[in-house]
Amino acid sequence: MNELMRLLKLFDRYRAWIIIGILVALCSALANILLMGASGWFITAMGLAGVGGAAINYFTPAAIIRACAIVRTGGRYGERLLTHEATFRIISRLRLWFYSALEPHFPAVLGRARGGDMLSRVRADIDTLERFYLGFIVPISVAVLSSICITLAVSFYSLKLAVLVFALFSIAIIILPLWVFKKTYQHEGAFITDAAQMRAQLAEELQGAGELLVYEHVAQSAENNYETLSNKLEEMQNRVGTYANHAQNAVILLCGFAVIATIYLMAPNVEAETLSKANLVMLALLIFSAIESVGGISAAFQGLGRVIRAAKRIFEIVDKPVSALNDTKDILNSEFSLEFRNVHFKYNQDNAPIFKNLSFKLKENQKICILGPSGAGKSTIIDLIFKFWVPNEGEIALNGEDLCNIAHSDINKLFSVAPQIPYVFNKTIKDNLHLANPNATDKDIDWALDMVELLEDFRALPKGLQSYIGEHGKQLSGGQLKRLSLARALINKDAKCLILDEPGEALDYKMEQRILERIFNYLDQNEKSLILITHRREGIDKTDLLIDLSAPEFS
Amino acid sequence: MKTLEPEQFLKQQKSLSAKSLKTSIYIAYIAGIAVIFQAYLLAYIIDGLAFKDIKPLQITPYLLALGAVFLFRYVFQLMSDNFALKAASHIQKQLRLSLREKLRKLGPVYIAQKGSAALLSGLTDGIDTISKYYQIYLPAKAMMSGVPLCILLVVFPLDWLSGLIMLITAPLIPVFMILIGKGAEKKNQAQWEKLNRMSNHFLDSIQGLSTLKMFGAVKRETKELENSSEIYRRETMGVLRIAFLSSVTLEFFSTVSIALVAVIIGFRLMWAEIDFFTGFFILLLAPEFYAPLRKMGTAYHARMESIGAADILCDIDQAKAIEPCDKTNDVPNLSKAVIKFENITCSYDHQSQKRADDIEVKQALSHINITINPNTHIALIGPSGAGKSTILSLILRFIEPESGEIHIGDVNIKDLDPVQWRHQISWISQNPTLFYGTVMDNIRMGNAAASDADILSVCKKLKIHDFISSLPKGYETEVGERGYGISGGQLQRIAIARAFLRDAPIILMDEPTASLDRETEELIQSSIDELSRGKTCITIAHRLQTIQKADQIIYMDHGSIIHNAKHEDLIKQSSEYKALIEYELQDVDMKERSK
Repeated sequence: MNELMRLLKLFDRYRAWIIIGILVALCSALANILLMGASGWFITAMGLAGVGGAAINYFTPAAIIRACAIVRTGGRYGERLLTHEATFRIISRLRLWFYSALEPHFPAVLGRARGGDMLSRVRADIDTLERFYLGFIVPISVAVLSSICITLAVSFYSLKLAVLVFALFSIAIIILPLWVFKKTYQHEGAFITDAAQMRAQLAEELQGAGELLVYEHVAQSAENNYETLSNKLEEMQNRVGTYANHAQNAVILLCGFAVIATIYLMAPNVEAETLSKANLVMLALLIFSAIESVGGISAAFQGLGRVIRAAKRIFEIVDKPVSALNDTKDILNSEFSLEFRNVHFKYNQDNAPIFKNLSFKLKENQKICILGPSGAGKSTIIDLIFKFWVPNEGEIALNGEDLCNIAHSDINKLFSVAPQIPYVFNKTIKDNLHLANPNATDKDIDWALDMVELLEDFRALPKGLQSYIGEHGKQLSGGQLKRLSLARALINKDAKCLILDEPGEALDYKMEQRILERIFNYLDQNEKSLILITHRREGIDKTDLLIDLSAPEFS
Repeated sequence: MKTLEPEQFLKQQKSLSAKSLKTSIYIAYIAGIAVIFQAYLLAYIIDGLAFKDIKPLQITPYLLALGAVFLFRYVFQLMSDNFALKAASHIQKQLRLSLREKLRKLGPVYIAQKGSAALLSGLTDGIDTISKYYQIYLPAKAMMSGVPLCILLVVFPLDWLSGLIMLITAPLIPVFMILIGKGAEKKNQAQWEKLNRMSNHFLDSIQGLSTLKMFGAVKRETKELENSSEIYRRETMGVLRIAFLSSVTLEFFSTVSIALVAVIIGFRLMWAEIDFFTGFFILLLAPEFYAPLRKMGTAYHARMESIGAADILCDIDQAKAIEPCDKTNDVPNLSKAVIKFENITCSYDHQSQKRADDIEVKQALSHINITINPNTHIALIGPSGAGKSTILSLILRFIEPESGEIHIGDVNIKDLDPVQWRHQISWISQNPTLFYGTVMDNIRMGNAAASDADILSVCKKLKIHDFISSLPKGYETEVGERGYGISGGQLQRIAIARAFLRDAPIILMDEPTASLDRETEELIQSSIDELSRGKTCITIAHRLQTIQKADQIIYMDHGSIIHNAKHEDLIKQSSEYKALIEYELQDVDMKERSK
């Protein structure tokens, strides 16, 4: 439950929106309840007047009925607009909050794995939390407030009846929902590992789909496993759903009980003439429709467990400790140098070290080549330079200052990277390049694309450089993607040092040669440094230093 | 091929649990009609108390009867809901099983096209979502057509005026909803798409967070996220202001009608035109008359959501898998049969051609002719994206050519049973997968008939017996995603054992590019050499040794064959090839040094 309070706190700045939304929703709910009560009073009174021939002021009740109808209709509209307005603000708030909170942990939070699964879970979790306001806060608040109003109203007529109504409301909005929540939470909890296993097996089968076609004799255990899990899932759904159905339909019983009890309790009062006949009818219908209107919330509690679990996971990510930063040293005015001194690194305690005793010093206008087969930890060096990970031993110095004392923003200014697996955004070509340098002119962009032989390709597109490149650059070929990433690194012209990680991957070697030659010339002319990470020899003869990570002293 | 709309697909699945669904709806009708009795009894009791001056004690039996009706409604409604639940979860389970089966048949090319992440979430979260269609939408739709009609039949004989009000307003509701909703509907859908795009933007920003950090662009991106969600909010609210009008119409008509019925009945009661019982009975029925219509509002949302989720499920269901054809021929004797590609053209992802922003239509192969003699070793080389793996996919029948034919001996590959044909092939993929199960299970996939002793002897031959024995439970160790983690090199070797166990006449192989440590690589190489002796072997080669030893080298680029010759001839013929070989040699040289 702590998670829910924390979640509520996040929404605090939209308190006004939230409260107004709830109040309007309350008005519309009460109007609906009152409509039935007033109608019951009205026709009973009119009937009695018809039978008795007595005069009656029918203007007031008729006006009340009309007013209820109008408030109900208008309120419903206003409620939906206001609650949606609040929801969108909450969505935006939640996402930005999470984004900012995630940033310092990224990418270490993903662990060594690709983390694709973790990211899709994050998305689903945030989606779940976004529905918390509209799906829970609004209906629960409205139910609680309207039951208080109705109980108070009933107490004017009969305390006895008010106590009864209070008890029925308590069952409808406290006991039943909590029961549903508890039951579903338990059952879903028991199933979570099974569901994860099912998902993992499916993921595995999608990945190895080719092998499954060729070697189709899958172990019977795998077939059985998937089927067992599917059966279990079906059973869990049936169970959890049955609880919710019970709770939801229990409202029928509560309504019935309420009406019968009202009549039973109040009939003697009518006989004793301490309660008018019209009021009896009004109370019966009022209570009936009040309980009917709040009864729906227990079904919503079926999903509360999911919200709590999602909140737990999200807070867990956000709450990971961030090491205290002491990044105050100003290094931008010093001469560029990068030094690794006896750096040891492993991703976690149990794993073998990625490398050890790594030492080198790169100065201004120098080029270093880091060689080695894949898996030797070449790309890890980039993670260390950007402080995504911290070395287990040894130290890294930038411009003569310990990396620990340097702000991220300064590191960003010194280096520009083209990673081995480039990540590009679902934006236009131009926007993807602007990302590395928001001040880049069209001329700069043309230059960078020309350096990597992409300018003509892209210009030939119907929308030119304004073309969207799709999710993960889906619209580009592997080679184009790689070159776009190189261009992006180049366009950040202020950087003192370029880092190219496997620049030739996905390119044919002739193109690789041409592009590297151009880049080398550019670096020479502008006295910039280079870290070239590769498993091929292309270009290494032009570098000043060579580190071979596969050499025994590093592993 | 006729394509099925996602909603039709959902409707089709009803047959998986037709009985439960029907039972659910029939029972719901009964529970719905019980509402009329409930109103009747309540009206009777109130009439008795207020107008007939019946003593409170005399009404007790009627109160009990009323209680019984409520109990009846509870039991029946619960039963109906549980039947709907059972039907939905059964349909979901069947889809989980059948779509998984279908995906297996569709194979890796389809999966790559659709994206395994999208398929995975479709088969898990998507199937979760569609339960709403069967549990919420279908029952609500059925109720809307049944219950109001019954109520109308009761009301009309009692009081034609109230009946008329109901009869007139009820059809007005859908009419007005449609009138207002028509424009809003489209906009609404566009807005859903935008919401999705905004979510994707958010995810994109998270996935690329490392990149943003490296370029110091996090703040800018945050600002952009903020702006885009602000713009989205304003646009959406603009649309919703109109879209919500349709639900307000529903609300307006139902509420005003109830109010109208109440007021008119009231005055007629005062004028003593009808008796109280009738008036009150009708008043109680009025909200029940509109309730199913109002429920459709929420049910409509459930429908939209389900249809959205069903999109990819429908796509899987409708996709055409390579099925065994009618006239299955026996596989020709492969030690003599020639594999022939005749004028093969092949391209992936036909849909992508329709996309407006599409930058490139990927044509994998164009007009390819290849002749592969039995028992020869072929090396496929060329830059990535040249079409090498498409050649293997075609032979494996993961994909069908767009035009041209592939012949095995004198039989068209299409006329062979795909399962039987694939049995003639040992395939080692570039990134082999170990599946849920033990090491033993995984190796046995190659040949279901192999005994434990066969598997042991293969593993000994491949020199992985010691490694497997050293695992916590030896051959019975669980592997796969959640199983015991083993290194890439060991995984390769288990996959080779799997292929070896099959002893098939054709070997297809995609050499791993990721450089393994030298020892493992040599071990793997010598195993493969042994495996492929005297067999037809087609390799996507990355290693110089493989290329040099091949009987025939096929050099590909941009979906075409540039050269097709032996190493000795090629090195003379082609400067490109020569340069490539020198380049590869450097790689070898480097490894040599690092040894």
